[in-house]
Amino acid sequence: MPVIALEPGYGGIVRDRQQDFNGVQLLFIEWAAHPLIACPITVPVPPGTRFGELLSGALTQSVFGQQPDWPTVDWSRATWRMNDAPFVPDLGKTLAEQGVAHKAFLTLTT
Amino acid sequence: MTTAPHRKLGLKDKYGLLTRGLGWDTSYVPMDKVFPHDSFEGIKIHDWDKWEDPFRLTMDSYWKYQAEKERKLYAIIDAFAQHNGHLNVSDARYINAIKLFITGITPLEYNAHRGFAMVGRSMRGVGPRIACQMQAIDELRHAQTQMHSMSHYNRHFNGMHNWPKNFDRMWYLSVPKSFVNDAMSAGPFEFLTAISFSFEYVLTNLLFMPFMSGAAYNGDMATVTFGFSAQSDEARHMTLGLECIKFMLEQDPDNLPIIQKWLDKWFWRGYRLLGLVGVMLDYMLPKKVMSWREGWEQYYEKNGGALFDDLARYGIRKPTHHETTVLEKEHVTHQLWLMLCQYHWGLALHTWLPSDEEMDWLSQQYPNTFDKYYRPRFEQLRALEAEGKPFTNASLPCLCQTCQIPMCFTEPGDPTRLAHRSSLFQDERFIFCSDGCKDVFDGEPEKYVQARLPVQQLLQGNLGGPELADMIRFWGYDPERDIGRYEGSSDQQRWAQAKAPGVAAKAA
Repeated sequence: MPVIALEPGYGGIVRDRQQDFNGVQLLFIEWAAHPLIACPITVPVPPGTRFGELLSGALTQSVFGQQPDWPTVDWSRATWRMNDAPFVPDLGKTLAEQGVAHKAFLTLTT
Repeated sequence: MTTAPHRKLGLKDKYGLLTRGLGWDTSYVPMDKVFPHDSFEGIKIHDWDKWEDPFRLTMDSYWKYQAEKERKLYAIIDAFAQHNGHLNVSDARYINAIKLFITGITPLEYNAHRGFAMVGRSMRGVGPRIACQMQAIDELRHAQTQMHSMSHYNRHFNGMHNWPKNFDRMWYLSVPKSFVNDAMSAGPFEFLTAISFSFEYVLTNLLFMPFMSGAAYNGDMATVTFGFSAQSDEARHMTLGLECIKFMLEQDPDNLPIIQKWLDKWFWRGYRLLGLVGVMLDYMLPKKVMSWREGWEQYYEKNGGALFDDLARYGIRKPTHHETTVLEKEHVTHQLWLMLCQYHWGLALHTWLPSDEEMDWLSQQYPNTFDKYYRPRFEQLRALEAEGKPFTNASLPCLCQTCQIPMCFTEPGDPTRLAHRSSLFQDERFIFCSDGCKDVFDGEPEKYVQARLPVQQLLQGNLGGPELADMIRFWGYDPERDIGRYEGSSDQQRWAQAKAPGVAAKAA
C-alpha cells in the first residue's frame, strides 16, 4: 500500500545501509533452543570475514561463546538457515562470497 | 435610557456559540488551502456540524473544574513532600515504576499535548477543533502534574533527573518515542484514531489502572493523587475517542477501510508498548496488584470485546492479530523481564530476579506457562547469581524495526521458538518481532525505514563515544549511579539506611 502523505513522492532515508557502518556489515544471529539468551544478537563484521572466522572470532566472543556448550558444538552437524531458507555455509569462504549480505538473519541449530 | 438585562446563557447555548458561533469560512483564501491536512488521508467529511461533543464543555466550566482539581492535587503533593512520603512506599524497588513513568509515559503526555494542538489547527470543523484544543491543555496539565508529583522522588532516588533527554536518547525509550512520533507524523485523523481511540479508549485502562492501583498498593500517595486528578480528564478523552471514530464512520462509507487499517495498526503498536507496563505489574511492583494476564483479560478481552461488538454495526471488526495477544498473554512479560535482566548494564531501571514468593505468585497467575517455561530459567539465573556470576548478555540485541523492542518474543503457539519476520524494501532487509509489526511496516515502508534503531546508531558511532560509560552519559545518565542491577545500587543502600532502626524514629 502506498504511504499516505501530504507531499507527493514522500520517501525517507534508510538509516542503516551498509555504507553507514564504516566498512562493516551487520548480521542478526539467533542460536535456536538457547532460551537463556533472550533474543537474536547483532554482530558487526567486515564482509571479507570468512565464515569460519565469524565462528571462531565474533561469535566466540559473543554471549554465544559464554555458554558452556559452545566449545563442544560439532560444526559438521550444525545447521544454518539464512533469511528463512536452508543455508550451508562454506567455512573457508567469506561472507560476501557466499551471499551473506548486510542485515542477513541467520539461525544456528546445534 | 434603559437596558434590558442580559439573558443568562445556558450551557448548551454557550457551547453552541463556542463551537459553532466562533467559526467562519474563509473568503479570499480557499478553505482547502487553509486546512490542507484534513483531506489528504482520504477521510471524507461532508458535514462537520454533525460532530457532537457529549460533554459540551465550555471554557469557563473547563477552567473551573481544572482549577479545583489542581488545588486539591497540590495540597496533597505539598503534604507528601513535607512528610517524607517517599519513605512510606513498600520498598525502593517500587521506584522503578516511577522511573518508567517519568521517563517513558510523561513524555508521551507532553507529546500528546503537542499532537492535539497540531490536530486542532488541522481541522476545519470547529467542534473537533475545540475538543482537540481542550485535550491539548489536559495533556500538558498531565505532564506538569506528573513532573511535580514525581519530583519529590527525584530528590531521593536516581535515574529521574534528566528524563526529557533520556526520552530522546535512551535505547529502550525509543519504544514509546517511536510510538508517539509515528502518531504525530501521521495526518490528523490517524492521530485521533491512534491516540484518542486506540490508546485512550481501547488501551488506556491498561496504562492507568496498573500504575495507579500499583501506586496505591505500594504506598505511593503522590502518584495515586495525580492519577485521580487525571482520571476525570481521561473519561472525557475516551468519550472523544469514541465520538471521533463514530463521526468518521458515519460521514462516508469510504472511510471504513481507512479507519480499520489504522485500528489494526494502532492496536498492535499500543499492545507492544504496553508490554512494558505488563513487566512493571508482574515484576517491578513489590506488592502485586494484578497480573498482566488478568489485566488483559479484563480490559481487552472483556471490555475491548464489548466495544468491538458495538462497533460491528459500522462494519468494524476486531483488530488483526488480536488473537495473538491472547495467545501471548501468559508469555510476554516473562520474556521481557528475562531480556531486561540480562541487559542490566544498559538499563536505568534496576533489575532483580524474582524471589521464591514472587515466583509462587507468578505460578499462580500463569498456571499454564510459568512453571513450565520460565521458572527453570529464573532458577538457573539465580544459581548463577548465587555463585557470584550473574548472567550478563554483552552482545547487542537485534531490534524490531517497528516497535524497536529487542526480539525476545516467541512464535504464537510455540513458546520454545523465538519469532522473527522480515521484509525487503528497495533491496534493504528489515527485521520484525511479529506479524503485527511486519504488517505496520509493510503498510508504509517509506516511513519506518527511517527508524533510528539505537543498536544501529551505536554501531555507526553516533552514541557518544567508544566506552560504555560514554554511551550512558550520552543517554543522559550517570554511569556510577543510575544503571544496573538493584543489588548493590545506591537506591538500595539509601533505602536500607533510611529504614535502619532508629533513623525512622529520629525523622519522626
